[in-house]
Amino acid sequence: MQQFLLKLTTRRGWVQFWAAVISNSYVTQRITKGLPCPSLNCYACPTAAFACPIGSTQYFIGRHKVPLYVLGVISLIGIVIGRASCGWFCPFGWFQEWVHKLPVPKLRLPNRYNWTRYIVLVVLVGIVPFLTGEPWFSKLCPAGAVEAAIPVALLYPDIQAQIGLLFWLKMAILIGFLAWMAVTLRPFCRWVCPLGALWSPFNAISAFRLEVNLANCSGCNQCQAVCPVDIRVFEEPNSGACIRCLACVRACPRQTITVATLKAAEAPLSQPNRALP
Amino acid sequence: MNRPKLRLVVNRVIIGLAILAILAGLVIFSQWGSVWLNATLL
Repeated sequence: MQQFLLKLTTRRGWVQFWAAVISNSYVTQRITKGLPCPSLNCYACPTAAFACPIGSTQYFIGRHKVPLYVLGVISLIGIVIGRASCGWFCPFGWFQEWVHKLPVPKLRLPNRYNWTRYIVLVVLVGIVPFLTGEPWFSKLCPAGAVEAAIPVALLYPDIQAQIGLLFWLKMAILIGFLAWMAVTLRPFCRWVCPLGALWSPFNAISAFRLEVNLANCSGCNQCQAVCPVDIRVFEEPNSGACIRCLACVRACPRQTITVATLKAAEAPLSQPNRALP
Repeated sequence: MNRPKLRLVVNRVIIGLAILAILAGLVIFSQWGSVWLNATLL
């Protein structure tokens, strides 16, 4: 499995491309739109094949119902693969990686304040929809602006007539994020994404995980250098911020970081995971 | 119980709870058709 995954990491862009295509494949809409997408993909996109898990969660909370089905699907994905969906399947994560390729000065930011995504989750996905009955995160979401608001406004002239303050607020948020994406890799995933926040705690207990053999680690810090979310992988391989892109596994010159399953991690010869939520 | 073993138990319990939540959501509360979101984007 290790060799296969290492080979797959060289083609992660293609996996992300096909995930974006399948998530927005239109033809399966009638059957699959009752299924939460395993990533942040706007339901309102004219070609969206799945329901947005965060949009669906807000829908139920706004109607004062427990989103059992949606949270069950999110939990099942998280407990099996952790945040791997963020690194491999999320169209907006892929979009951010492309914007980051723009030739502008880059800024690496520490993970010190990345708990802000939990505030977004609680306030914009929980409390505000509960009180107002409206999906306020979706109304402001920059992924929704890229995948739905702009295409819908361009495609349907009757919708253009309805463009108002909310649309321009959404565009302003998008422009702010575009500028941030250009200088910092995946800022939305790290500081804002509520779906990432829901999946983060699962990294510590998910079946798919990373393992570090500290006895073999030279401390070269290559893993952190290539990490898109700036984790010190040798210290916290199963950090809640990790999107499981496996760039560190490929970059490690001594093969210190390996992919493991929860059962394999129990083997007595392997180093214990230092799992941090 | 050591930590890896505890992690494994927690993992299995959450898998069970997630499957129960999906089944309850679908069978008891018929939530499949309700995951539509009225897109109010503009």
